[in-house]
This record gives sequence, structure tokens and C-alpha cells, in this order.
Amino acid sequence: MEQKKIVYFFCILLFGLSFASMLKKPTAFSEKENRYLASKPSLSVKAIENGSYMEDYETFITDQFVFRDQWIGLKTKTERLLLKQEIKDVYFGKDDYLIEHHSSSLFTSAQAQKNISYLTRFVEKINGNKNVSLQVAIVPTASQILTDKLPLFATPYDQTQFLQQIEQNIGSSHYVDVLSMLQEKKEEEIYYKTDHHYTMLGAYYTYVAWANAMSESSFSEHAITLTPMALDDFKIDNVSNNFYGTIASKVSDIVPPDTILSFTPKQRFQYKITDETKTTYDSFYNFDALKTRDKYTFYLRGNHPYIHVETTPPQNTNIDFYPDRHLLVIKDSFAHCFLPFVSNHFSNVTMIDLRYYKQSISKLIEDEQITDILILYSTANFANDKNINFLLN
Amino acid sequence: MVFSSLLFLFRFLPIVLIMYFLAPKKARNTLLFLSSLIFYAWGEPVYIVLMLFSTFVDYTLGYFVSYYISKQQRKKAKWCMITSAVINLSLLAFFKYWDFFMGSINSLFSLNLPLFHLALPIGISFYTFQTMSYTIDLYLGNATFQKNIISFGAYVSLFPQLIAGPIVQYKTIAEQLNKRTCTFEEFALGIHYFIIGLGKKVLLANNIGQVWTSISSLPKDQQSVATAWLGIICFAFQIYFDFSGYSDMAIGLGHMFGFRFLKNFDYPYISKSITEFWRRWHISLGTWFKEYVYIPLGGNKKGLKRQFINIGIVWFLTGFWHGASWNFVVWGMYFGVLLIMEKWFLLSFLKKFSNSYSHLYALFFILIGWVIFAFDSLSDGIHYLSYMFGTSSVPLFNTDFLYLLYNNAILLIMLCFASTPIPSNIANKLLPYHTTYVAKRTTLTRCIFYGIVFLLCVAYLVDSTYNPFLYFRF
Repeated sequence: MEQKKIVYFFCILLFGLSFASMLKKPTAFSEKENRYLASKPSLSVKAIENGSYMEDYETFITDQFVFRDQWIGLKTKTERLLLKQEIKDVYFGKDDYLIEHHSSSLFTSAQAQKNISYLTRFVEKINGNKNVSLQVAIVPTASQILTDKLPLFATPYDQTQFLQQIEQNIGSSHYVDVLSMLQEKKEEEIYYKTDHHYTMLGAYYTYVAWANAMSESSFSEHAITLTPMALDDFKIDNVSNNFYGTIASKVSDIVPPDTILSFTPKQRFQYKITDETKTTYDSFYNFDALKTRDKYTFYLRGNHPYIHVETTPPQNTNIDFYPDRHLLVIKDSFAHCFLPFVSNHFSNVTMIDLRYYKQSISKLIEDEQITDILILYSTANFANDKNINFLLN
Repeated sequence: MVFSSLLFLFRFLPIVLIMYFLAPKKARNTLLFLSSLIFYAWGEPVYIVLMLFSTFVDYTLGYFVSYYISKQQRKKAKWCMITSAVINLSLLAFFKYWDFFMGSINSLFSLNLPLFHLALPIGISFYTFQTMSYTIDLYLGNATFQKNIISFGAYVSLFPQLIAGPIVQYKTIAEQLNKRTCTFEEFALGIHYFIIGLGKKVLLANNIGQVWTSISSLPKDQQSVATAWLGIICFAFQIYFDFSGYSDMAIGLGHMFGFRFLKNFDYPYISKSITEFWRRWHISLGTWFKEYVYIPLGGNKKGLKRQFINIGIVWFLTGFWHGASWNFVVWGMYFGVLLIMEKWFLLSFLKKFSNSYSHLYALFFILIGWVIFAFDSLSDGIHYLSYMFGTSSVPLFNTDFLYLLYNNAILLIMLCFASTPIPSNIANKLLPYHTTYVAKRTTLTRCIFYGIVFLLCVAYLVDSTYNPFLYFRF
């Protein structure tokens, strides 16, 4: 009987997958998605009553489903077959570029507006302090710069509006025009194809824009000559050809991987890098990270609330170096590959991450005798971050 | 719990299937009743009491209705039947409409009557209608009393149709409740309906629904006439494939357990008039209102004027059934007016034109109906209509439209085909499938098709960012 075969076939599929998914041991952490997966919820009367047990249990099954990564890959491939150019807010751009699509609501949200006003108040506060210079560098994300790589007719939010709003609020003298600089260099590999960060080359051009702004600052009492180092001044190494970043994690690795670069000055600088646990290192780079999935932690060993860099320059260097100045960088993860550049100009650089650093900034400025401040964020993070208010701490 | 979830597919369903077929026939209704309670309690642990209450009340009143009927005391029987209807409708009125009524009265007379902000018990509109059909049918002599309260409970709570229909009238499955046979043919048919339904919901409805969500939330400066039309077409596809997908899954599960539910959707978008559309859309609801409201009111037997009033009442109630909000009332009345006009002169007028014109006419008014349906706030709906008709200075089309169109072109073509009987006709022609004879190549092709659809659904569910349940308001 032919119907029997259909029934058997269906039962094999249904029961096979059920058993496989029940027998699979839960994994706590997904390297690929770089997040902790839901674990089995614990049973309690209260959790059943308010329904949280059932909800958590469903998340648990979905997170821990057998062959999870392969299912996600299958879905992405199917969507691509249907000619979808965008999956889960990720554009499948030309030349294998995966580009995040941030909605306009992100930049017009109440949070974004609040963050601009926190920043503005911070700038006003620093302006009152005649001894400190301040620059704000907000880095546009790939969708703003790599417009040639976007799918046909794709029109992501124009981040220029957001950046202009920031510039108007804080005043041009504090504003580093990263946008124009990166637009000029858009033919070079300044963004990853599979990650939401700029590459170290992108960070280099941002550093050039910042150095120019420092020299030109109309805030004249602080203007210093800061000639950015040339690309030629660095030894550029390709340390990994197998980097899949956060965007690839979202839609699965169906494009070729990225390359990670390290920049080392050809002149011998010596660094003493201290993190919040007082552990010290002599390199910005962590080669062990290249063996893991989350290779971006190669730069500065990932997120830290606090990092201090003490630099000893080579003798008789021709690079503009200020032994008595102390730079404070307030930042998101875009600064991790940026720090190796600025550290070559100041004997002391302190870097804090407002997501984890909750102490008073005014006190930090006083205690560490900060002379210069740089605020470095990506547009998307700056609009979205819920910790910008800690600037005013 | 919803069918389109990994939890249902890979925990609940396999466990219930194994227990059901291992259990002796006598225990099967008890098993279905208990597993239905778990199914319901998974999302609504507290409201399970409400469903049990409704079950108990209608069981008891059903007993008295049939008792008085057998004693020839029709008047007393009638009162029991009315009590049952009143209790069910009160449950519905309180849990579904209280806040809406009070809110409306408050704003009309600027009063401050209390609102309760209760969560709507899932499926309440479906199971109260089912239990009412039982006592009414007993009274009308169309059904016999169900002695076994467990079997009656299994009917009320039967998980396949509990949360999103179809509304199964007691008389259609009365016999199957007491005695049903489960065969391989039935089970294979169940698999067919279930997988088709799952695919409709997970692969078609969810994907096109995302397009509608993004279009309906676009700010005015990014809207265009073409985008707005594309949006409402996407919504039309979403609601059809979502709803009929649920019904197909319910029908499929029914077959697996030996129940035969009636068809709930019959390719509504091929209709050539609104009258035809409502014969093809949510058939079980239309039938319910026809049998228990329209005909008792006199139907078309009391002259044209009375018939139009009856149609008006039925469509007011139909609209209102879909949700406690004015837009649903307007939506119902909108169709009421169209149906009256069709009965009056429009149908005979339309016959003068070719079929494609009538088809366009029907689709046009169905789409406008969906705009009213889709927006809770009438003013949002009117705004959206103004985009569609270019009366609010939006461009004819823009790059956003072109982007959305070519991104979803293949999906849209598939949806158009899937809305017609063409794919099913082709399959039936090439792959004969009868109860008596099934060709070998049919089995193989079907298995491949079911396998692909099923595995794709799993992939989409594992990576689900968008899997809405649209009937929480019904």
C-alpha cells in the first residue's frame, strides 16, 4: 500500500528529528553566534503561573536545536535562491560584502536624541575647562560609505543627517570629519566584508582625520602639530585569512572570510599596556585570539572598562611625540584597532568604555591629568548606546 | 502553543501521537482531552479554568435540553438553550469586549467606568461558538446528547482546532467522537494537509508578512502609491496563507487522529464577487452565522427589505467577532453593504462583463477591506488609503518600491500561483492519488515534496525572527 510509505516516511522525519533534538547535549556558548545560548529553565510554580517557564522552554528548544548552524545556513541559502538581497537586516552586497542595514528609526529614536544632548552637555562642560582639548569622531557604518557595494535600489538611512546634527550641536571645532575621509578612501578595503567594524586600514584613515583636526583645531590654545604617520611608517602584516565577523554570524558563513591586518611602526616604540585588572602587556595584539571564532579580540583582547598605555618612543624620532600630554579615549569597540595609532604620539593614553566604566569622568580627568579627549564611536553604536549618559558622571 | 513551533513539532506532537496510537480505543478521548488541556495551558495556564467552566456548563445544559425535548417540553428546553447561549456570550462579552464597551462609553459621555485590561483568552471566540452550536443543535434536533463528559470535553478543547479554528459544529463530528477509525489512508491525508498548512504558514505567510510590516511602518516621506498597493497585497497574502495554513494544519491533525473537519478556505482570491469571496473565506464562520443567526432571523424568506436588515445584522456581528475595535465593525459593515448591493443589482450588472473584470472588481474591494482590517485605528487606515490613491502627495513609485518588488518578486509569483487551484490541479493530473490507487511515482514525488517543505520549515523556525500569531484578537 502506497500510503503506508508516506506515513513511514513522515514518521521517520518527525521522530528522527525529535529524538535527535532531545538527545543532543545542550551547549552553553555558541562560538559562531558569539553568545550564550538559552539553557533548560528550572521548573517552579511561579514560573508556570506567569508563563515564563513556557516561554523560556521554547527559547531553549530553539537555541539548542540539533544542527542549529546548518539550519540557519539552509535558510540563508534558500532566501538567496529567492533573490532576496537582504536577510535579517543584512544586505548581500556586491563582491561578497555583507553590510548592515540600520533602520532610520535607530537614528531618529529618543535614545539617539538623548545621546546627542548628553554629548553636547559634556562638550560644554569640557569647554569650561581651559586645560583640556576635545575631539569627537563618529565613524559612519559601511552602508554609508560602501554605497557602490549595496544591492540595486537599496536606500539605507542617510547617516549624514545624523552626523550633521552632532556637528551642529557640539560645534565644528570639536568635530572630526571622518565621513569625508572615509568617502575619499572608499575604494580601499576600509570595512570588513563579514563584520560590522571598519578594518585597521579604516581605523588608520580615521586616525589621519583626527590628527588633522587636532592640528587645525580653532581651539588654538590646544592646537598641536600632529602630523599623522604615513602608511609607509608601518609594517603591515596579514595575521589571519579566516575571519568571520558578527554579520556573518547572523546569516551564516556563505561568503569568503575576511583578512585581519596588524600595523606595527617600523621605528621601535615600546608600550606598557595595563588593563583594569592591572595585568600588563607589551603588545596591542593577542595572537591567541586568532585561533578562536571571535577573532576581533585580536585587537586589545576584546572589551575592557579601562586600559592605560604608556609609550616610550624611539630616541631621536621624527614623529610628533608629546611626553607631557595624556589622551583620554572614550569609545566603543571601533577604538580597539585605533589605539595602536594614537599611542605613538602621547606618552600616556587612557581608554575607557562607558558600557563598563561607571566612575566619574571629571574625577578621572583630574586624577590622571588628562590634557586631550577623543570620543570615538560608530554612528550605529552612538545612536543606540544606553550608557552615553555616563559621560556626565 | 502554536503548530508552527519547534516545541509543537518535536515535543508535543510526537509524544501525543505515540501515546494516542498505543492507547486502547476507549482511552483515546481522555488522552486527547488531557493533551488538549496541556496544549492550551502552555500559553494560558489560568484561563484553562474558563474553558473547563464553559465545557461543564454546556454539558449540563445540553443534558437538560435533550431531557426536556424527550419529555416534549420544548419551552423549557428552549430556556436551557437560551441560558447556554447567554452564558457563552457573556463570557465573550466580558473577556473580549468589556474594555472596548466601557472605553467607548467613557469617551462618549466622558465617564470614568473601570477598565480591566484583561488579556484575551486565546481561542475563546472559537470555543464559545462551538459549545453554543452544541446546545442549539440539540434543541433543533440536529444532534443527540453526548453522555460522556470527557468526550464532550475532548470536542470543546480538541487541540487541532482550539486556538484558530475551524469552528467545528458538534453535529459534524458527533459520530466520530464516539467511534472513529484510524487508517493509513487517513493518516497519509493528514500528513498532506498538515505539511501543506505548515509550509503556507512558515514559508509563505511569515515571509510576505515581513514585507507588509516594513511597508506599513514606513514614514510618509518614504511611501509611494505603488509601495502602498504592494503593501496591502502582501497583507492580503499574509492573512490568507497564515489563516488557511492554520486551518489546513488543523484539518491535517484531525485526519491523523481520525476526525474529519470541513474545509475552511476554498481559494478565496479567485472569487468574482464579494458574495463568492465570503463563500470561500473562513467557511466555518460564515456557516455558523448563517445557521445560527441569519436563518433564525428569517433569512431571505421574509421579503427583500427584511433580508437586507438580516444581512446587515450578520455582517455587523461578523466584523465585531474579529476583534474588539471599531475598525472591525466598519470592516464587517463594509462587506455587509457590498453584499446587499450585490444581491440588489450588482451581481446581475457584473454578469454583463467578462470574468476578468468581475475578478478585478472583487479583488479591488477585498484589498480595500484589508486596509480597514489591518489598522486598529481608523485614521491610520484612512492615511494608508490616501497613499494608495495618491491623494496625500506621495510619488507614484520610488526606489524603495523597486527594491522591495525585485527582492520579493519570486515569492510574490509563488504566492499568486498558490492562491489558485492551478498547482493542485497539475499535481492531481500528473500524480494520480486516489483512495483505491496510488501510482509508485506519486508516492516518491510526494515524499520528496513533503520532505523538502518540512525541512525548510524547520530551518525557518530554528532561525525565526518573525513568527506572529495573528488570531490573538479573534
